[in-house]
Amino acid sequence: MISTDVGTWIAALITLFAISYVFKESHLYRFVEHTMIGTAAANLVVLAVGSVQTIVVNPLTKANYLAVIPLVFGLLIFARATKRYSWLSRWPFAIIVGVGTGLAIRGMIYAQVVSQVAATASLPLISADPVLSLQNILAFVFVLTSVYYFLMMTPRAHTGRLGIISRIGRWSIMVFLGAKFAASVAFRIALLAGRLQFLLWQWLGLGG
Amino acid sequence: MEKVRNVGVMIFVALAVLTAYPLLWPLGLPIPVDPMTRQVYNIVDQLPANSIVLQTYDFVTGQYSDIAPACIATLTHILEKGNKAVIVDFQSGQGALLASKIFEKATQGKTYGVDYVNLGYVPGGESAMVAFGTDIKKTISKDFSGTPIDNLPLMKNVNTVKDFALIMLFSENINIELRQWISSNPKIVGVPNTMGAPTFIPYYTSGQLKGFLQGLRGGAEYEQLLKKPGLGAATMDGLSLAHLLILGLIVVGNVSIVGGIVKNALSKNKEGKP
Repeated sequence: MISTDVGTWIAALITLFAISYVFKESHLYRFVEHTMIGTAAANLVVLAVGSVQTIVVNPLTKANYLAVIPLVFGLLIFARATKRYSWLSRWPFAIIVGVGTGLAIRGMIYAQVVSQVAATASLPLISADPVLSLQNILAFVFVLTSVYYFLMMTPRAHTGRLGIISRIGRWSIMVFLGAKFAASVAFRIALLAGRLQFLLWQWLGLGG
Repeated sequence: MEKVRNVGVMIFVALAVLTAYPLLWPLGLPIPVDPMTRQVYNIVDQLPANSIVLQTYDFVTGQYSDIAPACIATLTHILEKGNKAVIVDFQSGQGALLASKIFEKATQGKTYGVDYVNLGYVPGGESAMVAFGTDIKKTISKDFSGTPIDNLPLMKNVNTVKDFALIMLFSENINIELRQWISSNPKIVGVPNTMGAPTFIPYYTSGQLKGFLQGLRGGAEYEQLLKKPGLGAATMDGLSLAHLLILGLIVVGNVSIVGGIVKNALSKNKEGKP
């Protein structure tokens, strides 16, 4: 049975208006587009206000006056709006970039570099299972050639006889990008399926 | 240009019909279970009694239909086994909102605050993850609905990420939480959306992730293992049909290109001959 819930009807109509873009860019589609951007912006504002509440207001109510520091640095970001004091905004941005980079590098070296190199180096190239052996050999070759592809020391590294390594590297990167694109297509279809499921099951009350 | 647009419309309509048809009349196509999914199932199944599992819902509304089946299936499994779950969102702010939809399907008969908790959105990105990892109660004082976390029985003995028996990252960027928490708690399972699976699978093959579920497909497979077909299983039929159509279109497109090349070559040969 078709839904009588107002919220479901609004969601269903918005979904249909969005899908209408496939056929023609209409006012209905633009209405949905603008609504979505507006809602996303509103959500961000709410999150930002919530962040100020969590990071500054709540600690201040508990007499934790150190919370004034992030408040001051946060306000300094708005100095960008004036020509005279815009230089002050560099301080909070420097802290954001510095802390962000420091935290990321700390974990990245181990999790994204050392562990990956160690895992590749310890691949058993010869094993009882021939499929596994082939898989590991390919992974080993693809990793080395892909890294080689990005060596920019000298143009000679990519020409002549050495060029074959670079070409294999390029092909292996393309294999990854192909897999990534296929996954992206599958993801989009999953999203379409989700919307159709909503329209058919929840809105029109069919199936499910 | 108009012709290209019409072809695009036809492809979309065909995709929509093929995806929608099994939602009304399920085909029941087999969903073979990947060993990776079975591994995650076994990890959750073998957790000691009263274990507390952390699930991060770092996804946005648009990804819900892709990732929700895995969230619902794993949360159902965790709670059915008598274990507990803590939900938190670091990246989007929308995951914590969507958690309520997931709870509707996965938490029947369970008590909020005792069996499961939604800690809501924690602002601050990577620095918030670090803070959460070392001292949860200093980072968050209230849950999603504003209840002080000191009043939630489940959070009584939870202070750092070390206190979780398992961490499940439902995220677009698994690598961020992974790199910050792996040194404190290496029991991490990754559940990226379908699009992120090829990017993050090296973390599984290198052994950094103890298990890996691939978006919607992983969720559907988990439902099979749980013997509770749900959103994922219902969508997989349509997904399979849509993929068949895409494969067909790729073949048609390539045949057309090769045909064009052959035709051009033949016509050049003809022009060359007196």
